[in-house]
Amino acid sequence: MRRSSRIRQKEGAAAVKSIVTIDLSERQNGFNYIEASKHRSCWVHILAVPRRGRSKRRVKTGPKGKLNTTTFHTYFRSMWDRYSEDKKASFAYLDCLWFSLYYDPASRQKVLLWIKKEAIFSKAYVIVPIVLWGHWNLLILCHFDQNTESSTRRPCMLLLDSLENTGPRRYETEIRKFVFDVFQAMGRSETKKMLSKIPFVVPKVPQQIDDKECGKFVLYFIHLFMNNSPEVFEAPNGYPNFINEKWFDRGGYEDFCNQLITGL
Amino acid sequence: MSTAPGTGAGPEDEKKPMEQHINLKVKGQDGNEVFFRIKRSTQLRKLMGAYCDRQSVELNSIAFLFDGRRLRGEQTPDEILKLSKL
Repeated sequence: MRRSSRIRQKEGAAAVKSIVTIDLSERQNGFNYIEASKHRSCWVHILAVPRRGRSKRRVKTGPKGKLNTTTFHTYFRSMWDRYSEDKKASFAYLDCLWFSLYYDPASRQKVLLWIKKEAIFSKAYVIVPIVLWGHWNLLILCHFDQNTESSTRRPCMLLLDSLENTGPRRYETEIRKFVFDVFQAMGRSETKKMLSKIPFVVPKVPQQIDDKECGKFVLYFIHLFMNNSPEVFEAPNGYPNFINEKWFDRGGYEDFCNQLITGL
Repeated sequence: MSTAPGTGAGPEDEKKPMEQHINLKVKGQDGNEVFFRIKRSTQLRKLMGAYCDRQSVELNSIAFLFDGRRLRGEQTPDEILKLSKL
């Protein structure tokens, strides 16, 4: 017998093993579970993803520990929302979970579909925060709105890693594959060979001093990049000339972190 | 995407009592699927809590995505479907 309750579990039929019914205000007469199970498109699909880069600290303690993807996303959005429309017009960003979901073959195609909807390559810069194996990195796709042969604003990929010892180049193969897959998903004609000519640059950037700062460094890199990126930049010796080890000082970074807590 | 099982009616059609509810499938990264039936106007917080209870995980250790977008507890199924149509 069905009884009304706020949350209850019900044994379903056939392929639908169980349906959790929430907030049931009336009897569900006429609802046919077998029929529902036959029509997979009738179900709205939600993806549940473990948060990555999570420390044992709770979120409420502020950005003292490692940032998890939800905290990162919240801080990023609060930064993003404060930029002018003019500034934002040159930038696109991908949710910080998307690259790690792309990395998982089970969700790869789904992520490519999501990216396809974003039309990211109409922007001068695409911000791609990456969190893999508990470590945060920042990938910036520069000038992908230009032809790969463009001479003035040549496309390039920047990977900013505050823990250079871990060998940020280890991401290169996967990132190049990601870029190729995105181009393909968007129906672009660039070949793998053409894309392989896009430089993959790992600029020298300030390094974190403890094992928990990587997420905040990535946020600060984004902050500095969005504030300082010129329309065109030179990359002599493979390094963009406006990014270097002296890019920021510790004081500025610490002020930035404090502002994160107070909502910037 | 239609949302009312067996009827094929769109989410905007809310007049019939059956269509006050919506069927949602939550897929975990391990491929495990949990099916929910929830009122369209109910905050997703309830679903998130029920999902975490069933999976024995903490609510703050999971992010929920719909079409790649993060879901917030205070959103309702109606709201997210409207957003996804934009």
